[in-house]
Amino acid sequence: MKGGKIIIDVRNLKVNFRTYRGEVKALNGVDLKLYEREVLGLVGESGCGKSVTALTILGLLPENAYVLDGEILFKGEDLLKKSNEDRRILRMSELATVFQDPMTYLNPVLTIDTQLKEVFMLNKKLLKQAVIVQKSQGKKMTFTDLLSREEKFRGESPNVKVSRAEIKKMAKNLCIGILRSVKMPDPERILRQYPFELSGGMRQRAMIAMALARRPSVFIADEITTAVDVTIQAQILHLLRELRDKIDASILMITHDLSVAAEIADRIAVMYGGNTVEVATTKEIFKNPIHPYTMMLMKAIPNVKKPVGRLASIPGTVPEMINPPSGCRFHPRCPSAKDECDMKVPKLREVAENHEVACYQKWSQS
Amino acid sequence: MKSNSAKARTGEWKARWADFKYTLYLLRRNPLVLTGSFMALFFIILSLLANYIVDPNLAIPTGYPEFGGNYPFPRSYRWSKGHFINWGPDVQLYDGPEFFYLGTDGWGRDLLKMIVLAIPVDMENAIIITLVAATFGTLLGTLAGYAGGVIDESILRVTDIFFAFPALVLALVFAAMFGRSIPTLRLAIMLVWWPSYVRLMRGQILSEKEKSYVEALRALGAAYPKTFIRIQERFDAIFGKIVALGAGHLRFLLIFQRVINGILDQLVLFGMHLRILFRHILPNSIYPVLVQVTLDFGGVILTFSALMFLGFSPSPSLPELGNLASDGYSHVFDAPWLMVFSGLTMLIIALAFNLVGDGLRDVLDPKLRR
Amino acid sequence: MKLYQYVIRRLILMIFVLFGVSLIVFYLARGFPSGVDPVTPYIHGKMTAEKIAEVRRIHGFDQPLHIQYFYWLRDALKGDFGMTGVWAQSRPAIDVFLSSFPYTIQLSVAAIILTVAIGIPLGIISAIKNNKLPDHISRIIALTGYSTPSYWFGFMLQLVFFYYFLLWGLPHLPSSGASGMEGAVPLVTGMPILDGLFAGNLEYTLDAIAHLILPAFSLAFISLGFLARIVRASMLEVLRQDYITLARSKGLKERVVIYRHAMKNALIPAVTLTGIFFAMLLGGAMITEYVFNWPGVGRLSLLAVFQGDSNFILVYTLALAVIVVVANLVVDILYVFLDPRIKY
Repeated sequence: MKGGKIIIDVRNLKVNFRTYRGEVKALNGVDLKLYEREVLGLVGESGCGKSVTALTILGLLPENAYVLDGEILFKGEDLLKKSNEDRRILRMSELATVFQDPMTYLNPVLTIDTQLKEVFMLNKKLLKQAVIVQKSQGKKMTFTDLLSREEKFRGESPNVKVSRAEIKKMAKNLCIGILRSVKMPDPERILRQYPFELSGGMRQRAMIAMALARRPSVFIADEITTAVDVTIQAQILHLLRELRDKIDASILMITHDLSVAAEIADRIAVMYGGNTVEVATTKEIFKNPIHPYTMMLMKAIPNVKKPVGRLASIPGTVPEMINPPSGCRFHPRCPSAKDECDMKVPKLREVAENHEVACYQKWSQS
Repeated sequence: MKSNSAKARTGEWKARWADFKYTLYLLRRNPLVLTGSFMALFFIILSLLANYIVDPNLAIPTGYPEFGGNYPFPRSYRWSKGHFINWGPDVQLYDGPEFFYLGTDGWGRDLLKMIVLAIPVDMENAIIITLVAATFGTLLGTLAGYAGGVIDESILRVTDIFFAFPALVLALVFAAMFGRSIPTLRLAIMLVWWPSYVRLMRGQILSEKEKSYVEALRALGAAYPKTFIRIQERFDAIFGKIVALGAGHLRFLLIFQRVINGILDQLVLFGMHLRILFRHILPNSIYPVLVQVTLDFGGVILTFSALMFLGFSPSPSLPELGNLASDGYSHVFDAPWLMVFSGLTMLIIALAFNLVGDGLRDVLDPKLRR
Repeated sequence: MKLYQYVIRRLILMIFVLFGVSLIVFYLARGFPSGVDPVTPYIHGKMTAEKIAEVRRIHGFDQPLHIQYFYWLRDALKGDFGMTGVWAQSRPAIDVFLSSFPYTIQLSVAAIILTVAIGIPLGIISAIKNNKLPDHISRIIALTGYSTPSYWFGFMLQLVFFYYFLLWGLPHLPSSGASGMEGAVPLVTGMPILDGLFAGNLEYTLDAIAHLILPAFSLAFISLGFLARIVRASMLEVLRQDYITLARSKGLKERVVIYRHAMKNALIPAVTLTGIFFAMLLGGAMITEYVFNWPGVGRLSLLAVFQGDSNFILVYTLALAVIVVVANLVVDILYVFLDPRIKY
């Protein structure tokens, strides 16, 4: 929240894709701030650029994409100016992601054990210290221990010999421990299995475990509830809520489902057509949506309690990104649009406490 | 006013045309494919014009009484003196008036001219063999894939038998036993090449068949051949009138009506299957077959000339790339140009078509597009 | 169904295939529609007409075709595949085959090793550096490989490495045969390299290797191109998969991503292909063996076809069919171990 430290600051990010039909201007100057220890919901329709933003932060854009302009500040340093190797190291320890479809995102020919252990094995120093601490303490290390005693593990590396077997064993224990943390039943058996042998919910938990294992500062969840049915969705959201209290990380929750964001996010950022158009606390956004797009979105949600004649919808279609509308990309469909709206893209501006909007028409009303 | 199905079809064709243009665009961007296409085009044109550039009569060898001919300078395995390539000390040089750019063969014929004459022979045979094998194999594969069941199994078993032979063996045995004529050789190679198309097409059909749109088509009855349905309706109407007239006595005709209706039903179903097959499944499955045909073209040319090389040509003096090579086999160290250049030409032709086919395969792979 | 049930089912199918093959080849070899009289390999010029008729009767060539097949089948099931003709010293066909088969095995193994060692890395590099210069170069190499006429490449190698090296005074490689020192070593496996090793005769072994290099490379050059293309295609497909993105997002080094995550998935079709190639090579790369005078099964089969020796042709094609079917079966079983999703 305001006053807390910003851990990721995306400023005016512009990303294009080179395709056969032309340049797709996917991100058109995205502004986004992620604070420490908060859950930020990034909401928008398919194709509005949410996943692209996440991929750009991670440094995993496909070959035909390139950053046109902007900065991504992580703890003050611009990620875009870092080398690929540096960004890889950040992915290894600070930025973790869980993706949408656990069936396609897990390697089908490797066991869960292999895919989970390799994350732990990335940080052999940590494992080594964990073994040392375990030996000195005489008590078995668990994953939660690792999480909580962070300070003890950073920076030390005494010259004590730890065998590879011990490291491997520690890694295995940690795997079992972390699977328990994500409420996976019977972890030892799961480790030996292949992804196709698990159910959708279990696979998703496995992916979450792989992300947690890095003890990240930022946890990006890209549409993780989209590919699962509603009951699993509920379980996963429940799990995330529990974890958010335990782990010391911020969560960027990307979803197109407002209800999911409502359940778990502290703040919500709404994206449309490659821009962030409104950012506010969850309560604020639902109670008092200011941007025309957000307002129409809220109106489109059918209310269970009140009878509705006709479902409201937003007229027009999502703009195609090769020749997007000039200025504010929503203006062709916006009921409040005026001349100035199609000249320049509006930027986020605070109009109420903790409430920013990118709309020329709404800046005057505060 | 176009019917809805006709409109849908036009839309389909527009989509296919746009797709085709995209394919051409992708192909243009690949330098290797472009090179291959130009080379292939070059050879195709050359083979069409070859008999006009070089006098085919030059192919008639001289020096052998049974052939006759009127070659002005009978020479065997000579290399022109003063040529920039030096093949070594054992080579016999030729000092006369004509300059042979690629030397002479065993009958004293100009190798360069013989190669030019040989190209159309190889190309023509390769085209015929590939097209016939591909057509036959594709049809069988379609049948196997779409019909399924016993037909599928039996076709598969037959192809298994043919797969158990490596290409050359079967062709050899066949050619050896049926005589050394070009048609026999063609048939032999066709026999060897068709099974892969069966498998290919069958695989494609099987996966297309499972796709949801086929089920949708069937459910909607969108593919029912209207003609048959109209015939059925007419038939029912006429019959109804006849039976109404005859009241009780002609009731037995109702059995007849049922039988005919049953047959017509089957025909309608059959027609529907054919329609789904030809209008929807086939066009979507045809791409890998095209790729395979282009790639096989190179392979067939190589096999054909290999068989000729082994001695299966109808006449030892026929200008054909493998045949020329076999002429040079016995003199590979003191007259290497025969082997070198005939094989090199073979390589370049096969390479041209393989480049195109390989690039095509890359481009048409649905997962690699866009 | 269980694995062994699957294997049994395949073997039964194999018998069916063998029947089909034997029928077709029998008709072609003995039916002589316009080809060679099956009695040809057993006679020589000086025989009288009576003698020829007698030879014909001994071998049963005067009987109707289906009776001939019956006799042949009956004997074959007992392991007797008849005699070869004069060209192969009239030995039993099966012996002729078995005594030359080890040479072919040696050549095939060498060729496969080369193919895999060069072809797979070529394909992987091509995929990783897709559409950049290394891709184009490896593509040209691969495509040239399988556009090359097999008879031509063998001769080119001989021309350069034997003839010209000799002329230029360089150490040269032999151009024909499997060994320059026949009989110097007792026959154990029939394969010169192995026999030389068993006998502890280093000179013999080195000589055998020297004879092996050119023909093996000639064979390998043609198949490695094909393998490289397949590896490239499947690697490209794998690299586009979502799980590769996840692996990268874990912060794994790119090398680890490729070796641990991508390769296993990508190499599955390559394994199939290698198995099939091996089977084909075992069939005796006829032309290469012919060009290099390699005393293997392929060269013999060529001679047999020219001589019209039906017995040897039958033995050869049946053996080949068995090899191909077994190779297919082995490859399919290997699939089970490579891809955990597959169950029979």
